[in-house]
Amino acid sequence: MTTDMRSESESQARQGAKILVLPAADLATADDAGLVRATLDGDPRAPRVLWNRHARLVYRILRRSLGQQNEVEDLVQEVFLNLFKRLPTLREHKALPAFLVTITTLTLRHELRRRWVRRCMSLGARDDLDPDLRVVHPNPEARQAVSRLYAILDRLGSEDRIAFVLRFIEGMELTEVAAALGLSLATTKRRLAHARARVDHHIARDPGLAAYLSGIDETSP
Amino acid sequence: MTTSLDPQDSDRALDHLCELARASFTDELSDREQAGWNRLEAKLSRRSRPRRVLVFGLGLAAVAAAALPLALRLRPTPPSLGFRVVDEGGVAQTASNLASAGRIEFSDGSQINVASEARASVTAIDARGAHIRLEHGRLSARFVQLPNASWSVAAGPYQVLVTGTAFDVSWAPDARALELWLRHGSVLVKGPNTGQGIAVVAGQHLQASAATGQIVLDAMAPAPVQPAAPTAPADLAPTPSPPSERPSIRESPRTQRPTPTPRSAILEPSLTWPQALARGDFQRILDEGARRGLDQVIANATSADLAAFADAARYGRRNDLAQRALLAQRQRFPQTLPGRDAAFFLGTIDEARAGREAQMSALRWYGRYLAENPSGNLRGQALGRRLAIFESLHDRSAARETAVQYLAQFPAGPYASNARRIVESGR
Repeated sequence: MTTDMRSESESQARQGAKILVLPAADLATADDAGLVRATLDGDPRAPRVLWNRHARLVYRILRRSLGQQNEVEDLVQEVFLNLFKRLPTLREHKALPAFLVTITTLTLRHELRRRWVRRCMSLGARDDLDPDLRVVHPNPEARQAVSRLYAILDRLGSEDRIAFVLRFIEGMELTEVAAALGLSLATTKRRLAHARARVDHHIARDPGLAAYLSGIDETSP
Repeated sequence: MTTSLDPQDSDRALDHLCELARASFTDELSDREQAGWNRLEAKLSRRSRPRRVLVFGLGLAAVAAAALPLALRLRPTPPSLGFRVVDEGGVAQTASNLASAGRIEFSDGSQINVASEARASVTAIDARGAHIRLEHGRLSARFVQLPNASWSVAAGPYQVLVTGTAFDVSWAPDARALELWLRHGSVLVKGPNTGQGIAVVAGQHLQASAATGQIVLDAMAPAPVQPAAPTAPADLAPTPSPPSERPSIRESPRTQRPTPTPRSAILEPSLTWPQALARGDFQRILDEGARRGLDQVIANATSADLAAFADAARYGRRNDLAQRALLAQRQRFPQTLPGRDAAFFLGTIDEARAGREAQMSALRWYGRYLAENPSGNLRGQALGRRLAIFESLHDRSAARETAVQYLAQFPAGPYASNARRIVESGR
């Protein structure tokens, strides 16, 4: 910069610079559509905000689907890696949570199949986790009952299991379950009826669960 | 319950077990799980590097495959520009990377000077221009304006798109901060939080932080460091624009924009005020404000709209409107960033008025900004403005005290040379 120009700039600065500040968009309060837009626009803050907002949902679904409180971290990472990879294909930006549930479901399906293969390879061992370590309920009898429920879910196929968890444990609407599984509503209903019948069947044949359930009253747990 | 459950028992049993499952597996996150983002971020950055190479490679192959038959049929394309890299000693090199001070000379006459310890590379070149990546540090560029010229400088997540112009640009990877001083012409800066891009015209200085997302566009103050190598050709040194080219700082920004400015003409009707502001369509905001009624805007506009309106008013030389909007911003949204920044802008408005009283008022506003914003983004500017005012009021001790404060916090800031001069003159 020449002396002339520098002195002129300094002079301009002394006269009172006109400053325009473009405020940072407050991503923490942006809706999901705004967050997706910011992520796709390359805003470096957006992926973290997206994680902070939705990681709990993914953790919860994975935990409830697999019956594990502490072993799902790698899967959560996989879900979000897939999310950021597929985000450009999301047409309705405001449908981010449903999109995330679908990706979580796909990841779950893959994981359940992997576990099934592993069980087959280890000659029928149901799982390599001690069932009592998988749940955190303070009541030991309730903890045992939950372990038995997940032992029953281990007997279901991956799609039946995911449908059951999303509908009966996660409490999703039928249409949401159908969208997450990529199935029609009718197929989803059939799958849920099948899963429910199998769970009922196994509950009725589990003496430990039957004994526990006969002792509960209307208002428990 | 050993063989079957009646439907009522079955429902109750299932409800109970599902309730237990819900209570057992919650969405509470441990500290390690909450910190999972850090692991994910590392994975994302690892994943993106090879993918980029692969995508680029595949893209290149696809483009080459598609272009081959066309190249055989159509007339030959204009030859690509050539370039050579010259280091401090004037020795031509073949590598496109510059590790230290030097310059890149293009066959059309365009030149880039890379400051010492900066690093830049030519990542693509064709007949219309080249793509330069600034990895860190600062460079000074002068591009020859030719029809259909297309040049760009990438720095971190930002892109400076150029037609024919001269500017300095710096990129600090650690702070993820871009700084641009535009000497001639105009450029469009694209990157995080810039929407469709921010037009920067001659005489303007832009600071953009990818870390915070904040962007400051102001009048160009003296550049902190000269990027030109000692052996740089004289014609690369920044030269003042001819008066007819040089926009006055008092001019309306609408008249500053040298491009045909169809951007504002094609703005969608649904554009929000902050979006219109980002695109430089200040008049549109003022017109809409007038239609809604100023009192209505002052009383009911959201914080973002009020801030956009104040900025548009300042740039539209309607300081009366800007002042009202800024005071309302402070009153209605005192805890927000625009509410806190308003003190600074009220200072700039007072500073632009003549007279000692106005300057004293500006000093008070800048002081209030500094007191309210211990880590504010405009602290450097506020201190620098106070320094300039104290100097203009011939208050040497206050100027020296402010200069010391400024240098302690912003040793390479745009007011640093002025501050050093004041400190040294007091010894």
